[in-house]
Amino acid sequence: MRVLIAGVGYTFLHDLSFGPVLIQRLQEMDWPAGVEVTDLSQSPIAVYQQFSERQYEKVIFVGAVRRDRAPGMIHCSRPDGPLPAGEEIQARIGEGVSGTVSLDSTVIVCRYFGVLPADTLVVEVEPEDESWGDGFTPSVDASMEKVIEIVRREAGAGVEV
Amino acid sequence: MCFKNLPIEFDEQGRAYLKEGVEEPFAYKKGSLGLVGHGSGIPALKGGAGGETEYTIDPVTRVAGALGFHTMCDLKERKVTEAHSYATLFRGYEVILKGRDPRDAIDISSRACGVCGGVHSTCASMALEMAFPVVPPPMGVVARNLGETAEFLYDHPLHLYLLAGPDYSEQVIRATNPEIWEAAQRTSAPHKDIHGFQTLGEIMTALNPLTGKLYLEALDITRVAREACAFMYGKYPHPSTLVPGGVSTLLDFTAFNNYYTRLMKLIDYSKRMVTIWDDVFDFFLAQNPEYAKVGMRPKNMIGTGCFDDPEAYDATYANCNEWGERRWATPGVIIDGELRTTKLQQINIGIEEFVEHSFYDEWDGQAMKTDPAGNPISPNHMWNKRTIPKPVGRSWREKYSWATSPRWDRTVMESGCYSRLWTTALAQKMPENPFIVSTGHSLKMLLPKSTTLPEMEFEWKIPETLNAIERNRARAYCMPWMCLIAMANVLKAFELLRAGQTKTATPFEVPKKGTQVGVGFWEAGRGYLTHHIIIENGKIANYQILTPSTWNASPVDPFGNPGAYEQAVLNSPILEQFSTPEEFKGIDIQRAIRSFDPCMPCTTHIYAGGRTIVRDVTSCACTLDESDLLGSANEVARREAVS
Repeated sequence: MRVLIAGVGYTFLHDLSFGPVLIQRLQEMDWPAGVEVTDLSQSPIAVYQQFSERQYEKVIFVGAVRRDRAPGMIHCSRPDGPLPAGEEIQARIGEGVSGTVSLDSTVIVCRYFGVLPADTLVVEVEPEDESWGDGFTPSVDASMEKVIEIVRREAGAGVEV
Repeated sequence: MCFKNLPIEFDEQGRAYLKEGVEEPFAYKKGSLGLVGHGSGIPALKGGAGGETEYTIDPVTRVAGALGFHTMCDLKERKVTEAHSYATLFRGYEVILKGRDPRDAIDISSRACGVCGGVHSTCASMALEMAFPVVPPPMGVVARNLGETAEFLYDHPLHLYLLAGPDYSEQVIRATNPEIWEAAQRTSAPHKDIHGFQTLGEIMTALNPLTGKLYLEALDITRVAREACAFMYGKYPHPSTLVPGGVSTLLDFTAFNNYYTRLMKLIDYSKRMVTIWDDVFDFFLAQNPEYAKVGMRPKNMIGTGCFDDPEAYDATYANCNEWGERRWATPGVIIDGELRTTKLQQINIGIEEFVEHSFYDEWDGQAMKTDPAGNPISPNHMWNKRTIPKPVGRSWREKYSWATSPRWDRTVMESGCYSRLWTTALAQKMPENPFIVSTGHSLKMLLPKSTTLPEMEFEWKIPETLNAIERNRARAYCMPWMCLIAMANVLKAFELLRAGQTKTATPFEVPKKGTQVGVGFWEAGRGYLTHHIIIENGKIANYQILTPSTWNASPVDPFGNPGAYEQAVLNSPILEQFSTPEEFKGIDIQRAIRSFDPCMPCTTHIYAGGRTIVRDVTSCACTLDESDLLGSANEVARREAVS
């Protein structure tokens, strides 16, 4: 089974760096055959183009997204509902080619072009500090191990001791 | 005469000096927003008390980053009576860079833009090259030319098909000008043999966002350009291989062959791009000649030029007039359609940046009275400017934008890839080559046989007026032009490889003591770009970035002159069809603005006082509720929550 674990986020923006930093941690771990771990903090268009060439049976996206929930809260979802209106998708493509990195846009644009597998999971963490700099706030830092546990279980890797 | 408004004259040797007898040479009297622009033919801004309709676009969509635009429109007279352009977010890179190691400027300034990352890295590298100093080897210069042409080849189709293109699509035309859509379906496309679309209607359908063939093809072609760029720089959009003294990429025949393969695809694409847009714009002008007034403004343009001749570039300010004029894209200032100068020093010393109507405080002091060559510069020059953010409530009569008001010789200028093309066509200074000829009134291009199309010749002729259509048409012609500059540089790279000149960078040392000064002159895909740096005791003392969109999006200056977007919109007739104000969509205003290829900050940092930089995003992520992403609650398969 081909599984992709992909982090999306901004480096050096404290909690918004959650996705890329998590990926660095995950890349140091052992994974079953067929599981790839990569940083997809790129234009959603570039991500869609990569998915159009390389298919997976399961994709797990991880990143920090501000939705005004409790800081550090983990939220898992399967994005299989209706897509936003065409104008919004168009706006997200415009932002994407202009360089905006966004987990939402990545998922929406890739879904619009039909390149994600049915089994796609989005794991979000609520950020607290989005300012310039390194490191996480304690609430986000505390969620790291739980997210790793979720991702490993979803990827069929079991929990690493 | 180079300057008409600044008190600067030149001696017989071409050295600039301040006019004698002027007590405060750069002092100026501040006007008010009620004043008419000097000699620009722009109507006075007025309060909108005459029954006009207020029309505000915030954000302006299909532009890069955060831009708002406020207008008052007289819908009966079909004209815009008041226009205000405002950048809604602050680019804090100047604040972030202060006090840092100078090398940080390359990586940090790259993040100013998600399209132009390589451009900013290049410009920062060149500013450091001048300050340190260090001179790149010929292959380093050629690699930079190739990386940057690829970056521009990413930018141009992105803008024409994904951002501005939908303005001319079936979807938009049917909604705003059904009479044009009707005619389009009946009109045969003059270049159908090249691009394959039988009618103008077919082209417009292909321009439809999300589903149109040309829209989708543009997404694919951006990948080809990105890949070409990555072969030179290792990655795109924020390369880590640009350094003072060249590039740190290891380049061999394979890298250049890979680049060349992509270039052939891009040449093929560029042939169709030119013919498609010629067909579209000629059709619009034939349907209604008033379209020539949409986005029109005086032919005042500025650019720094780019793509160096490796035999000429020595990274010095002393010789920048000479190496600048040897560039593939000539630096220059055009005033009222006439080429005023192509010398980088004259371009540089004529610039001032004003903040009277921007969310910044004015600054005291003047660190430099002259440039490194001894030419006088203003206290408002970038080497003297200090970035002191001061957010206050928006007032059209006071401060209303995070953009500043740069001016050259106190004149409103604009910049874009079209100004680069225009200057190069006028100047007749580009290096001798087998592909491109600058005639003084046009640029002739000979495109070799490519993937699917035969050898073809194009000629971009300098247009009578500067307007939305001609900005976009020139942008289409910039595509083959960039391809040919890339082609010439690939050939140069092979020549250097054969000669064994494979070194791509020269080692450098960061000065630890004293004061060093530098400036990077390198255009973005969207036009003019400079990075000015002052280094003191090994740290950045001042760093100023001036971008094309700062010129174009500027608010009113202290003399009462509206910025370029504002002028262009004030001159635009309203040509769309509507019966009631509620039906008014403002498409002509939007066409005028988008024709500049606005590039506001994609992801920016807002200064909140106390040296705190907080991030804001233009992405919609933070305004979504879960249902936008998830569809509905019952589609959420599972949630796990911990706090």
